[in-house]
Amino acid sequence: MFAVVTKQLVFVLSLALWLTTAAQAESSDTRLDLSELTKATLALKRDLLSAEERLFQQNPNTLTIFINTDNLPARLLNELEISVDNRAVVQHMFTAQEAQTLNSGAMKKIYAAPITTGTHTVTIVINGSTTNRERSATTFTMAKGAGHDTLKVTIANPLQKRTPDLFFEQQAGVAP
Amino acid sequence: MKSRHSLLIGTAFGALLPLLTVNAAEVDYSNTTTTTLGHALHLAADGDDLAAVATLLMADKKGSAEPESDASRFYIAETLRSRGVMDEASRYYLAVANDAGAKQHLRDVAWLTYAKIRHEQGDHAGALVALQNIKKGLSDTQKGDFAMIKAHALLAAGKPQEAVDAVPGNLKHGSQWALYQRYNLGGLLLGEQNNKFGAAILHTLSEIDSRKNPELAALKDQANLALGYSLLKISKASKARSYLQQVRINNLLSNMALLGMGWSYAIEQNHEKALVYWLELEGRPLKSTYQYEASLAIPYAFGQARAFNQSINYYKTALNRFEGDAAAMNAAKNALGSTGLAALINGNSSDEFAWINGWQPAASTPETVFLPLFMDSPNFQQALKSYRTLLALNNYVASIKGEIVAYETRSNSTAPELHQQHQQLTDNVDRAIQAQLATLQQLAIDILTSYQNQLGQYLQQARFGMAQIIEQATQNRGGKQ
Repeated sequence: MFAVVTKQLVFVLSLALWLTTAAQAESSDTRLDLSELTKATLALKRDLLSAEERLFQQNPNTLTIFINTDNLPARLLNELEISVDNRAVVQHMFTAQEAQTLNSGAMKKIYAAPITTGTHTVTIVINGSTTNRERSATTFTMAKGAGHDTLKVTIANPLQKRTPDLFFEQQAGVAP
Repeated sequence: MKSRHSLLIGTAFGALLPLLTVNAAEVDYSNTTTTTLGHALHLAADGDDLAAVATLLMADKKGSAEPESDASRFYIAETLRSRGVMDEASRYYLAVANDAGAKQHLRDVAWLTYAKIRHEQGDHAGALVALQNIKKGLSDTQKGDFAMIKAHALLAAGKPQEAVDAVPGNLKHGSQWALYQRYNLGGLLLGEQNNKFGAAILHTLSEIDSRKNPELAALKDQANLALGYSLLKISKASKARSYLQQVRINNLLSNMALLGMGWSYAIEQNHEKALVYWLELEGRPLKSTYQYEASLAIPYAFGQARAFNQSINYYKTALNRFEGDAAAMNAAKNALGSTGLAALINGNSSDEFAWINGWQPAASTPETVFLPLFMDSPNFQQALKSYRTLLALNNYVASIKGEIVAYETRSNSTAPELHQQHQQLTDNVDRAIQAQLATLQQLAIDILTSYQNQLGQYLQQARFGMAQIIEQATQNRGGKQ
């Protein structure tokens, strides 16, 4: 009595799992569409970013600051303030997630603006978390030449101190 | 009864692919030094992987990502692969793999991942060629991936024993991807080739620790089902139960497990125990292929237990269910043909899996009642996944419009080329969404039509079964007299 073939007994696929090869074969057109549309989206995004970069580089002299960390405990990085020539330009609160992201190689583009040539000071103030209320300020003096400079600020704590150390790396003429 | 098992064994061996994700463990980016790659990693961590790739593509075009251009290209490849853009991903993997100046580990991982793409696209020979380029830079986990690609290629080349020998005995260092491939290989060996080593391979999956990983838990369920049904096929009921009873009770796979548990007892002529599982399955609120099976199995079991009145009553219940559902499916098809399906899909969370759970309790309209039947179909699941990906892409493209306007404000100029590009993309995405919705609607209607045909056959079986039971009951009464 149970010999009737049940083609509609489509095999169960756990909803937490994905595709079957059969399903992929059925929807190859859709995948192609998705693939082409994704490429077109990337092309538009790239063109927009290029336009924005060209606009930014119409300024003959610019400074872009990136922040990254090197094995920095999250408690040492709660809030960061940046002043250029004693003028506050950035105040940023870090989430624990962002602090973790920065430890994994990511760099936050935190500031980008035109700047005159000559000598400038960049001061970074770091406030620790509520359990570590240490506040530290570090000033970097830089000679700004013509072009688009990048300043990479690495926050690290190699000696396990109460406040982190800052390492500045200025790259002259590098496009952001 | 055996023929029923052989049908179900087929259902237990579906080839599975993991959700494609960028595997952060493949390459360690923590020592990134260039701001371009670092910035892209930050964008990606913020959830905008397309902006990350666009940033790297721009830098790659200008050559400004040096000295980490290979790491950047690898990252582009990984993201494109996770987005299903396989042709471009392959191009970037090969660029890294063939770069003599790149680090050996990166080149080896690029070859390995390129081999995975070839493997997933069914080009086993191409996958093997890619593997042959790998020198010595793989981690233990990556070696596990390597072994599984090789094992599949050997099986495809008609060398099952060599394929079995290539499977690593130790699961400790295996990636999730390798575990899926292990499942697929075990399923192929056991299901198609009737090779006992397939069962041994699946057994290793039934023992994995999946407590902290829902995807692995689902894979383990799938392995237990496959093993359970393969044992039912050869009437090893007790051993089959040892696997089936490990399937988690709170997911849709458990319907198949309950049906199998019932059959395991039925094989042993323990129909009372079989009924425990089938009645639970039959009483579940959500529609299921296996629930229909249970509707037939229950009166069969009562009949075998000589409980003729109950058997007849359950046959009547089954007849009502089959007739009622077949009729209700007409109403559902009408609703699906209008705007019902779009409302159903679009009204749910954007979260990758939450929408599935969100749907289940909403069984109030004809189309929602039968939604679980659609979700039993891998084709429908895949089409729905594509539809939702298109919707997400549509939202992303819409957000770029605001960025173009902001750019125009900053530049105090217009950007007609960008607007034109954006409009064309918007139109294309919209067309793709509408086409995909139409595909989904047709799939849903086709599924219901198939079920209606199936229910028609079930009706005949139920009528025939009931007639037999009535005859047996009559003979029984006659005998007593």
